[in-house]
Amino acid sequence: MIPELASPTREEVMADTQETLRAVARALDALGPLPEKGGNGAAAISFDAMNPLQRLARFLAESYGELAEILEGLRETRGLFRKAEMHRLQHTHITLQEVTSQTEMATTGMLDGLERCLGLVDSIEAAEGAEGEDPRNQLRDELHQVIQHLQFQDITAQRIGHATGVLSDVETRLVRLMGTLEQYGFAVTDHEEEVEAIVEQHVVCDPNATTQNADSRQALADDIFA
Amino acid sequence: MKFLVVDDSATMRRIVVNSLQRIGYSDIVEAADGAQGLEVLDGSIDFVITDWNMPVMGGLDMVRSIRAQPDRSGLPILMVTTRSVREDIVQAAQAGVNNYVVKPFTPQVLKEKIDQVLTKLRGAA
Repeated sequence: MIPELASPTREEVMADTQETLRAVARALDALGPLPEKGGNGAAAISFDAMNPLQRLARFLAESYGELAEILEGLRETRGLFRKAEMHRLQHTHITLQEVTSQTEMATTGMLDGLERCLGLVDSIEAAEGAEGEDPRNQLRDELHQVIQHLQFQDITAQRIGHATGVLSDVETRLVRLMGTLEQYGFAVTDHEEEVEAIVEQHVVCDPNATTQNADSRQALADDIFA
Repeated sequence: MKFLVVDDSATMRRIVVNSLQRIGYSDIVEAADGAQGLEVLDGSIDFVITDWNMPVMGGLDMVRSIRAQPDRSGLPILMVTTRSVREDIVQAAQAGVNNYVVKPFTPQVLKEKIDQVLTKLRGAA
């Protein structure tokens, strides 16, 4: 039976890597001065004139430099995600939610006022017992129409809800990406407050919700249900 | 006639209720999503008006759940929604919705569709 090997810790991997790099450095030192790439100095040796070990050394040195640049780029990218994009995304997300809630509050206030007006018209009419065509009927019709116009709140909320959903999705992906980078040791060294993704219940919203062309859209529904 | 109005938007519920009152219906109960709608739904409800996009349980799932109950297979259901692409409307019809109103609507359109549903169901009875 093969004994189960424990996974090395991150520190152990780093220590092994450093030890390996030191061993490579010692081996390179033993080969003499590192050939300069295209260098003009006295120590410069053309690539064609190098022996295979020197070529390997040049390749390793160049690769190391490129890898170091890539790692630095990844660190910077992660830092930028955290410092700028996450805050901006969360701010946009919160702003959109505030817009939805403020629109809802405003329309609720308007509905309250309109319904009070309608009640007022009813009570005036009852008190006077008016007969026939009355301008108050027109007023009532107008008030009802205004109430119907307030449907825009639900329709715009659908669009905003969809946009919020997209932002949440992007945010979740960024957090996942940062988690992956963190896992491989690309941590940002500052002690900034951790930014956590806003996890919300998924609500399906209609990205095509519109106040336009209600008649033609209703006609399509009528055709299907005819 | 007693109506159940299901919509997650408080504004829309009030607008639907206001429209129903304007066309002569005053016995109305409300629910904020499909699950609440199913809880509220009892033998006293004669007509259901529901939105499609709602949290917890959407209108389409609620309609399917109602239609799965043998004693409620004939309950009139009207979908009032922003969704107006052909595929969605067909899907609603297949789920068992009796008629379909596209938002934004007018009380006249709401009345017309309610009347159509009731006339059709009376004719079928």
